[in-house]
Amino acid sequence: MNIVVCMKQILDPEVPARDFRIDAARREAERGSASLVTNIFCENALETALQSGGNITALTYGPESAEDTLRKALAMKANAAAHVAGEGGHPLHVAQVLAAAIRKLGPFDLILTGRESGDWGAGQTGALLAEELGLPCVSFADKIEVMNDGGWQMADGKASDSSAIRHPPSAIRVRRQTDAGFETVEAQPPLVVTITNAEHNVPRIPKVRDVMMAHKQPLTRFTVDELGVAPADYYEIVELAIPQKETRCELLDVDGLAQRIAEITAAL
Amino acid sequence: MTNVLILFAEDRAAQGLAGAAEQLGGETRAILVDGDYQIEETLDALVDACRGADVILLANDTYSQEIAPRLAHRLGGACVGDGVGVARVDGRVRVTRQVYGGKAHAVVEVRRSPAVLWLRARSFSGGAAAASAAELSRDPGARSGRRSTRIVERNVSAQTHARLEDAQVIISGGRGIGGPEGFRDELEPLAKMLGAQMAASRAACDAGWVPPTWQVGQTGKKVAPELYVAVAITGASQHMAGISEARNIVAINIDPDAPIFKHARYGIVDDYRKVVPLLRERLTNLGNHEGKR
Ligand SMILES: Cc1cc2nc3c(=O)[nH]c(=O)nc-3n(C[C@H](O)[C@H](O)[C@H](O)COP(=O)(O)OP(=O)(O)OC[C@H]3O[C@@H](n4cnc5c(N)ncnc54)[C@H](O)[C@@H]3O)c2cc1C
Ligand SMILES: Nc1ncnc2c1ncn2[C@@H]1O[C@H](COP(=O)(O)O)[C@@H](O)[C@H]1O
Repeated sequence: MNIVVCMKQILDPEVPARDFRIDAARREAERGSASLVTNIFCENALETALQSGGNITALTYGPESAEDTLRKALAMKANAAAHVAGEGGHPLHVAQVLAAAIRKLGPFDLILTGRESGDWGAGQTGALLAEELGLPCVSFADKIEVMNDGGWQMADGKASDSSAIRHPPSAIRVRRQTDAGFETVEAQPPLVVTITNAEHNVPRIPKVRDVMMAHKQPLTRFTVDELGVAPADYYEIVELAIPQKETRCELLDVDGLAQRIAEITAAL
Repeated sequence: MTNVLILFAEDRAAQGLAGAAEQLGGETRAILVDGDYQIEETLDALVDACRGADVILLANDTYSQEIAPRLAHRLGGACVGDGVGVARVDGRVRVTRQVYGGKAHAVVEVRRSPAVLWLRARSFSGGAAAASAAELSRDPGARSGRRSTRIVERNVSAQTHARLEDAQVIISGGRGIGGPEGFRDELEPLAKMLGAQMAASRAACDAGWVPPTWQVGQTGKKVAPELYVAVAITGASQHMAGISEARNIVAINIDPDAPIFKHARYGIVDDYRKVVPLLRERLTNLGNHEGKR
């Protein structure tokens, strides 16, 4: 089974609000002292792919620094990595770039993305990618099982020598989260799946030795021009601002708090 | 003349979307998307139903979120999600939404038609337009002939008798709770006393202490209770993004510098293991006292 995992490098989203600044003219966050990290849902996606077992390619579209995201993916034990050099853009553009790269790198049985990125949080790229590729899509998944040789194979996290690598699966079963609980969705590959967080896809920490090895592995490199993707209109950010609202917190003792809670709930 | 189309699955959402439609102006229609939801078929049916509309509004439920960008793509339009405000400026649709994990607000201008928007429906005050909704027709002949997927099983988790989004009082726990026992033995009894729903931070859900349906925040539920008690939750911006509409936030945290105290109305700096049992005791006393009056 061949899997591609789309991964995006972003400004560390957990930088505290007091250290967060924006460049209002360019309408984006200032880099400041924040580090660049891989979007958490992309790592959840890679973890999910590693558990379902297969030949995994990590794919990113971004500036030179985004190579770090691929090196980390290789350290987590992705098999290959590809870098499209260029600067982001709106989700349709990103989806078109990723689709073009996937056509060159593929064929793939599974195309995974995160549910959304932690910077702009568009939450669209996976869905648009499915449309660009003419594939079905399952969203907000947290677990993938593959049907091989007549049986469902549970993710076991050490599938690197399993039959899943050699044979394309005949069917894929996806567990996805809903507002009320979860659903099981069955599909035939190829398929796009967007991944959300769950207890069982918390990204693994790579071993030091694998981190070192990852730096020696070759990367496939493309440019947007080579992929032949033309710019398209979609949407523009016309304003960016930091909302100013801080509440004065009244610190209380337990008696005081019980009193307030009783008052608020009595009024309901 | 603009045509605004509302796609909704539940009345509460329809009201909010109708409010948003009024702000955009134009002629408004509504379609109820209900029944046996199957992703690909529903999408096919919607592509036909949506022709002619230049703004399409959906709510922030799972199904709307997954459908909106694909619908936009098929109609040659553009999607913006998670909107909390809409406006039309020089004929163009603009959407206000949180970005950078809730640390900033952006106004996004849509540059294609139709504009397909999914909105935090409860952030809009209700409008009247959704009164006459049509059912989505599922003409099997209209299918695109693409390969499909099948939802073969639906599981509803235990705590859905009342939806978190509609809860008036919420008791929410974070990583500092330390394990499922703290949720069960300390927070749940407090929630019972107050008739509250339970919720959690992402960290507590990822740890597997509570189900993922409890997660509140940017990528969890958006709630709007009168009272939100955040117990051992730092108050990361991504968590706060889910409670921006909460009326009264109470923080119980051992760390006086936790960002949650910048958002809370009332707070206690102490170990929740000490605070919560005492709080239950005091509330019981207050309750008994009131009972006698
Ligand atoms: C793209 C993205 C999306 C995200 N979406 C969400 C989301 O939807 N919802 C969400 O919640 N998070 C989300 N997060 C994660 C978020 O950034 C934080 O990491 C998370 O909210 C932290 O959870 P926490 O406050 O429970 O844990 P921690 O940050 O570990 O905080 C634990 C707190 O408990 C306190 N504490 C410890 N022991 C005690 C005690 N005995 N008594 C009292 N207090 C104690 C500590 O002082 C601390 O403040 C997202 C992150 C990203 C990058
Ligand atoms: N520049 C990018 N390179 C690779 N994958 C991306 C990129 N942008 C978005 N994605 C994928 O799309 C997901 C959702 O992103 P978004 O639609 O931007 O919220 C991410 O988690 C990634 O899997």
